[in-house]
Amino acid sequence: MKEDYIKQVQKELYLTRAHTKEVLRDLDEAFESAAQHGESVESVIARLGTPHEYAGAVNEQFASEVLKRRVRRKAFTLLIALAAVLCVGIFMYAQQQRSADGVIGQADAATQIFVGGGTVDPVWLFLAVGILLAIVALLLWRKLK
Amino acid sequence: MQHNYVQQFKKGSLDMILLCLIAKKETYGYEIITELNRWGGEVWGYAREGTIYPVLYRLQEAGLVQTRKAPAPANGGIKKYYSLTAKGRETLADLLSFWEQYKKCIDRLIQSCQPD
Repeated sequence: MKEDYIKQVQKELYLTRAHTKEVLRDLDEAFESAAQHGESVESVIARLGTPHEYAGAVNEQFASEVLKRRVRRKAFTLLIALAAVLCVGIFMYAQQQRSADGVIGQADAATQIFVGGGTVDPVWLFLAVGILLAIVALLLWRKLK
Repeated sequence: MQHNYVQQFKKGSLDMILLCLIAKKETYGYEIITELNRWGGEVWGYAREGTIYPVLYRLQEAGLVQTRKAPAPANGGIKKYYSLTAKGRETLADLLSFWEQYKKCIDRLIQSCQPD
């Protein structure tokens, strides 16, 4: 229960690694000290408030640091999203080119015979990486909210 | 008496109260909260970790408070002990001197506002 609470607080903190580590250490000490004075974990949690409230109060005191990190995270998320769009774009462009190259003969209309490849087309890698980056960007964006 | 005006008033004086408590002796988080509640929990509201620790971080960042980690004499668990820096003592002296003037000034004003 204590561990869950600390984990939840950690998720909501927007601080440097060093500050986050310190805040979580202090929180652990708060639980330990309370236990030494005969307080239950439940009563400590009732006093601390929700993890969201606790982390919010801490974030508020480090406002400039929090703001900087949020801006940096937003920029990083945007960069990942752009990379995803670029990868999918390259894939689509390559596919268009490929279908024209794969047509056999000089007929006025395309035949239904295409040259098949035995190995995995490296162009598909762009699609896979693009989708992966889009998922990462989406997860980062949700965390930012 | 827990409306916003009172909350704001308490917020403004919390830094001074904490510096004052830490100036008395080197102390740790739980002890600070217990002392605060013993001195005036029923007046300024019972202190909670979520209120006190963030202010302690700010005071430390401002160089008014310093910390050291050491085993507690009672059971050996590691605790973070807070004490004032030279800058912290200076700031506290300034704040207490201001508080004296402020108190007198406000008291005089309030007395003048009393109906005859």
